[in-house]
Amino acid sequence: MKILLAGGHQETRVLAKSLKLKNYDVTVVNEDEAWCYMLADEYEVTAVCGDGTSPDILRNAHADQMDLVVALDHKDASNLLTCQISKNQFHVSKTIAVVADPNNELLFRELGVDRCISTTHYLMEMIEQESITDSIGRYLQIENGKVVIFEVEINEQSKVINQKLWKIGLPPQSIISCIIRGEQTIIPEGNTELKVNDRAVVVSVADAMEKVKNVLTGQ
Amino acid sequence: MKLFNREKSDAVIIVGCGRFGAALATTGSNRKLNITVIDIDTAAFNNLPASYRGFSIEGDGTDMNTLETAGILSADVLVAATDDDNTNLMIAQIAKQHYKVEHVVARIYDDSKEVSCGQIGIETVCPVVLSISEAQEIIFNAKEEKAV
Repeated sequence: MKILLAGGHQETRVLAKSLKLKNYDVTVVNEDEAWCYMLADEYEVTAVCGDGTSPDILRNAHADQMDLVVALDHKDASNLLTCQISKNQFHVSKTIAVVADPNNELLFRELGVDRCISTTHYLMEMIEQESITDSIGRYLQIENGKVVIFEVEINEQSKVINQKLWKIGLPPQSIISCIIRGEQTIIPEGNTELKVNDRAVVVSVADAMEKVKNVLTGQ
Repeated sequence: MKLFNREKSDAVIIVGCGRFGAALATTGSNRKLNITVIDIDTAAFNNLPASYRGFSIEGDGTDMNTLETAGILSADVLVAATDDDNTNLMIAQIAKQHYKVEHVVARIYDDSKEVSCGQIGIETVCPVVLSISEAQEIIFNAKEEKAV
């Protein structure tokens, strides 16, 4: 697979290094000439010195042969343009843009970028995960956080122990999709009962998460 | 396209209040159009003359909240006139694709970047291209010939 990394500094280096190790064909476009030389020497990647938002530079970097273009510049606008030129002019099948402003994630997708990655978004997610209390083990967001999958441990204080699932009154838009009991995994039905030390894997809308947690842990 | 010759007094948003943006805003304001200027730096509003009668908003023109504060939902014309081509192209696309603003103009220094603008209905103003054609007119009396 041929990958082009446009812009960025330290992150380009790390990516170039690890992608090269996995035997990907890596090309780097960077405005910093010294950095280009360093990357080319150190990691044996193809380096093109220039502005990654310029069609001419992208052509020099053989953008038309790329399978994936990743735009890592610090300016969101530049990353948008890099992806759009790659897509429209060089017909790259997949483009990824790093965005600083999480609001740009949706916008850029609307404007034709295949995927956006926002570090701010991940940071926010992590902070949220940290603040979600002990009873929730793992936690995963889908569709920009509209839907969440998370694990709740059923402890001794829980009021739902030995109750059938249809009786426990989970809030709407939530479902226990799996119960982990020791080594066993159970895909539950309405008549399945919850036991102490079960871990319930719940799929729900984000708003219902707190309520689900309260119902299951009995707090 | 003639921005300021329209009969209705429509809302015009100008992003970037440098010499170009400020001059456009002034012209529009003199013609009693409803002008709003956005710039990330309040000092830029010093470029506007005392006679300017429009609004000025400090903010990032690529931020949709700022654009909405400036009234993009009811705007008829948006001019992206910041000093950065990429920013201008992004603002122009937000205006055209997301907010469906009827007339969108982007000032682009590097004309190689304007490739896909025509397809989506963004008008571009490129100083270099204009200067070349003007210079050709002066020197060779041939404005139509395209050198670029």
